[in-house]
Amino acid sequence: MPTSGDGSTAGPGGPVIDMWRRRTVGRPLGSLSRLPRQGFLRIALAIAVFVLLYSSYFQIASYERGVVLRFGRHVRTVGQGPHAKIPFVETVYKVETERQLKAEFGFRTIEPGKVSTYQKSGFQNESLMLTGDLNIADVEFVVQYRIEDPYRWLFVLQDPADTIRAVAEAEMRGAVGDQGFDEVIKTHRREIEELVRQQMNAILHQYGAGVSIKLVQLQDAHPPEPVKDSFEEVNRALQGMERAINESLQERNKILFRVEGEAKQRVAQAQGTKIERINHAQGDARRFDLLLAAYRKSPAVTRERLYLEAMQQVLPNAGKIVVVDPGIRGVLPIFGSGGSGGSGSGLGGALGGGASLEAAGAVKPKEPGR
Amino acid sequence: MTRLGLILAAVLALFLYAAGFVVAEGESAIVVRLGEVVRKPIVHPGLHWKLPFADDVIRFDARIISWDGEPERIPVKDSKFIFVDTFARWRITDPLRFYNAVKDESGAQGRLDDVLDGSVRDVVSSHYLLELVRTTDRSLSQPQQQEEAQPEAVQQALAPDMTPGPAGTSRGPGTGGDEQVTGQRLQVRQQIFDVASKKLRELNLGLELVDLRIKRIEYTEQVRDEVYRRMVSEQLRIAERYRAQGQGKRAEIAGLTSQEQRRIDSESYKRAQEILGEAEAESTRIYAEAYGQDPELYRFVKSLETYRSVLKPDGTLVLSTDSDLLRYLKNERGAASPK
Repeated sequence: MPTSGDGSTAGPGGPVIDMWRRRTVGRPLGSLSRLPRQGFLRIALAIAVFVLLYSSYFQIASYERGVVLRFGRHVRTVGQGPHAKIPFVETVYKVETERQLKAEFGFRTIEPGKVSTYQKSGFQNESLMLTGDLNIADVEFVVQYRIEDPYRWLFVLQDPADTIRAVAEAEMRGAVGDQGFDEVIKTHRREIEELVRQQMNAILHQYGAGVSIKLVQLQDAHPPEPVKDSFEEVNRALQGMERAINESLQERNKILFRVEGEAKQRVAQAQGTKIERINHAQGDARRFDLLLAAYRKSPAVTRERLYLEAMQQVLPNAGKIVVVDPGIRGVLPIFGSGGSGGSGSGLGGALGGGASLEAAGAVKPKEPGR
Repeated sequence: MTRLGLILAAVLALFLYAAGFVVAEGESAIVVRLGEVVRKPIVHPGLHWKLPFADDVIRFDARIISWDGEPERIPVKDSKFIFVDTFARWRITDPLRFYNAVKDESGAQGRLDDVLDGSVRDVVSSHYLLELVRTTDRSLSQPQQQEEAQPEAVQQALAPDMTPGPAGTSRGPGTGGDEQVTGQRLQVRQQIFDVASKKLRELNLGLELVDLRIKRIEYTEQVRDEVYRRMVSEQLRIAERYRAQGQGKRAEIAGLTSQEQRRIDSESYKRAQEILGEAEAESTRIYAEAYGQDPELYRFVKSLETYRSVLKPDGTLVLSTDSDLLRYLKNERGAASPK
C-alpha cells in the first residue's frame, strides 16, 4: 500500500466511525442531560465533532495536485485550494506536479545557491562510461522532469523516481556508447542530450509512468582523472602548433610586406627613368628640330658660328695647346708663356680666331702649377 | 434493554468492520478462507466483502515493480571480462499463481535474480564488446582540428594530415581483431528480454517482464587501467604529432614565404626591365625621327658637344694650322692650302 502525502491511510476507519455515530445518535439527548456522566459525554462529543470536521478538510498547495481515493478507488483529482472529503472513507495523496524535479548523475548538489556546492567524488560508477571507440569518458549529467499525471505517478510504477534514474543511466550510456570519445567530450553534446531525452520519454511513456522528461543536460564531460594530464598535454601541443603557425605567418607577413614595397619601389623607379628618358629624348629632339629650322635658313654661317662658339668654350679647358703647321717640320711651341693674354677670354671678339688666341692665353693661369 | 441493544450494535459494527476490506489503487488481492483460495483474485480497487474472521486477505502490488541486478562479471566473445549491470521492471499478472509460486515480492526477486542474471550472461557472452557498446554502425567522427583563420595554403596543407584521427584509428583492447564489428546494443537488449521473458513464461510464476535494460557496461579494474594506459599513450602520440606538425608548418610557411619573396622580387625586376626597355625604344624612336631629318647636322652638333665634354684641363690639344680654327692664323684669307 502506498504511503500518502498527509500520512493518513485508507484504512478501516469508516466502519468504526459508523459505530460511534450509532452510539451517539442512538440515545436521545434529553435523557443524557440528566445523567451524571453528562459532562464527560459532552467533551467526548465535542472531540468527535472536531475530529470529523478536521478529517473532512484538506488543502492543496499551488504546486500540488490531490489524488482522492474512496475506499481505495480513484474518484477525483483536485487542484490547489481548500477541499472537503468524506472523513475516513476518502484518502488524499498529494503529488508535486508543478515542481521541476531533478536527478543528478556523477555528482550531487550539496547546497544550491548563488554559488552551489557539489560533491563530485564517489560517484564515478555513475559517470564513467564507455564510448563508442572503447575509451572511457567521465560524464556528469542532470535530468529534469515533471509529473504530468499524478494518478499514474502514484499507481503505475512502484518506484518512479528510481525508475527514472535507471532509465536515464541506461539511455545515457547507450547514447555515449554510440559516439566517439571526442564527440562525447566536445562536438556531439547536444545530440546526445536530445537523443537521451527522447529515448527516456519513449520508455517512460511505454511504462505509462505519467512523467515527462523536460531536460537532459550534460554537465561536465571530460577525460577520466588518470588520463587528464595527457589530454592537457595534447591541448598544449595543439596550442604550440597554432602558435608556431601564427608566428610563422606573422613573420611571413612582415617579410612579404617589405618585399612587396621594395618591388613597387623598383618598378616605380624604372617608370621614373622611362619618363626621364623620354622627356630627355623629346627635349633633345625639340631642340634639334628648332636648331635645324634655324640652320636651314643660313646653313653655312650657322655652322661656322656653332663651330667657333664651341671652340671658344673648348679651348680654354685644354691644359696645353700645340699648334702644328704641315709646312714646318716638328712641333711649334705655342707663343711661349708670356702674360699677353692676361685679360682672359672675356674679350671674346667677333672673330673666332681672335677668340681662340685669347683662349690660348687663358691657358696661362694654369701654368704656375708646374 | 438499552444496554443489550448497545452490545448488539457493537457486535454488528465489529462484524461489519471485519467483513469489509479495501483494495486500493495499485493493489490486487486474494482471499484465503482457512487455507483455501475461495474466489478469483481481486484486481479492481474499492470496498470488498469477506467472511469475518474466517477469510484472510493477501495483498499484492499491482504496479510495475523494480528489479535491479548486481553488476555481473561476464567474459565477452573477445575474451575480456566486463561488468554488466542490468535493471528490469516486472509486474504480477496472476496474483494467485504468483502467491503459490513465489509467495511474495522478495521471493519473486530471488527467482528473477536467477533467471535474469542467467539470461544476461548467456546473451552478453556471445557478443563482442563493441557490439554491446555501439548502437549503430555510424562511423565516429574524428577529433576536430580547431579551425583558425589560416591562409588557404596552410589549411590545405593541414587537412590531409588530419584524416587518420588519433582516437578513432585505434580500436580498443576489446575489439575482435580484424572482425567486422557492428553496433547491436538494441538487438542485444531485445535478445536478453526475449530469452528472459520466455523462461519466465515457462516457469509460470504469475509474473511478466515489462522491460529489461543494460544500465552499465564497465571494464574490470585491470582492463580499465589498461585502457587508461592506452588512452594516455595515444594522447601523448597526438601531442607529439602536433608538435612535429607545428615544426613542419613553420618550415613550410618559411619556404612558402621565401618562394613568394623571390617571385615578387623577380617579377618586379622583370617589370622594371620592361619599362626601361620601353623607355629605350621610345627615346630611340624620338631621337631617330628628330636626327634623321639631318644626320650630318646632328653629327656636327654632337661632335661639338663632345669636344666640350671631352677636353680636360691637363690635356694637351694639338692643332694643325690646316684646321678650320687656325686657318686664319697664317693669312687673312684663311687659305690653309698653299696658294
